[in-house]
Amino acid sequence: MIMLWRLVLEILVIVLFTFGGGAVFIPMFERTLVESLGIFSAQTYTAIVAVVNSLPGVTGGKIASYAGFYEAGVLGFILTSLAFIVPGIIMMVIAYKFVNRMKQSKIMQNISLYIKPIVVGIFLSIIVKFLDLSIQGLGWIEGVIIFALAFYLLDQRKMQPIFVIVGAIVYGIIRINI
Amino acid sequence: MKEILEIFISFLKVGMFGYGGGSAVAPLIHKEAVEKRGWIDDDEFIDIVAIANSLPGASMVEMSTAIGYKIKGLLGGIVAAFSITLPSMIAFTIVMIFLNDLITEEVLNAVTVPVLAVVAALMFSLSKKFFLQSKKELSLAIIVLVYLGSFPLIYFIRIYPSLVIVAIVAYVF
Repeated sequence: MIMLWRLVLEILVIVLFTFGGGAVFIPMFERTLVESLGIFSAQTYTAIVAVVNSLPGVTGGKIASYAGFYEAGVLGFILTSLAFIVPGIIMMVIAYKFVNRMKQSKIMQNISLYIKPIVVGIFLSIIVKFLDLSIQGLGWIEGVIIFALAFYLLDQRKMQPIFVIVGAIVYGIIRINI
Repeated sequence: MKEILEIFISFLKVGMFGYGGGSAVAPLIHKEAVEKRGWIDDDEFIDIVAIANSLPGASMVEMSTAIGYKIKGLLGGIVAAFSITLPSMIAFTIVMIFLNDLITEEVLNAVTVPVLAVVAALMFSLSKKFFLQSKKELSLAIIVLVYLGSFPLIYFIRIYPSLVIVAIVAYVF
């Protein structure tokens, strides 16, 4: 029980002090779950990370809630999930209200203009990372063809992203069975 | 009530099909909230992605909260945040309990790798759209300059996107 409360507290600290999200959570949780609390062995954690990256959803949240369940069952799952989700809700509501109040000002309207290319810059860094990973896994030719085909279907044919994602999963499964 | 249900369905969908976590899920949120439901426009979407990237914590929780909050207040925000996160957290825990011994890393990788290429294409398509919008608002030189300022900082030097946002905004003004 004491361990569960320490875990909840550690998750709160991670969520409140980790910028970047997504992949950044993986080393943060490793420090906490493996090194400081010893809930998982390093080997188990590596296996967890492999599964986390292969399933959709919130990277950090999946690790946090599974650690909670592993440590204290359903109660553990609930408490660690709340510790992961609730701070984000509170921070966003406050930030959103604040930004909207400032929105009328000329400065904020100007900032918005420049935010768009910055967000694209953030996207580009993820695009390059994911392309790199898929080329490593599939080879140059296959990786580029899948990217180009997906782009054509999504951008030119306006196909529903979910269908293309499911198509890629099916392709991956067929590919390994050949 | 109808809106709450729509929020639940939309963000559930994003959570169940959103690979990559964080900002990688933004294109799916854009599809649901901007294109399909018309809850927010492109500019509001950009603001929300930027705020979520500037705050600590999970971007997926924060992006969904902001959109839910805009449509239906605090309840909308809470429903959005829980529907985007909880299903994948439950699914993950179940997979870890029951299926962990059955699935090998090889199988997992095979499934994930083509999906990552699709997510990259999704993000590229949305980036293209935003680039064309920016071209109407700013000169090409400035846009390229901001890309060259933000992308290498985040990708090669691994500076947090939040710091890049603050630095570029501070530099411009």
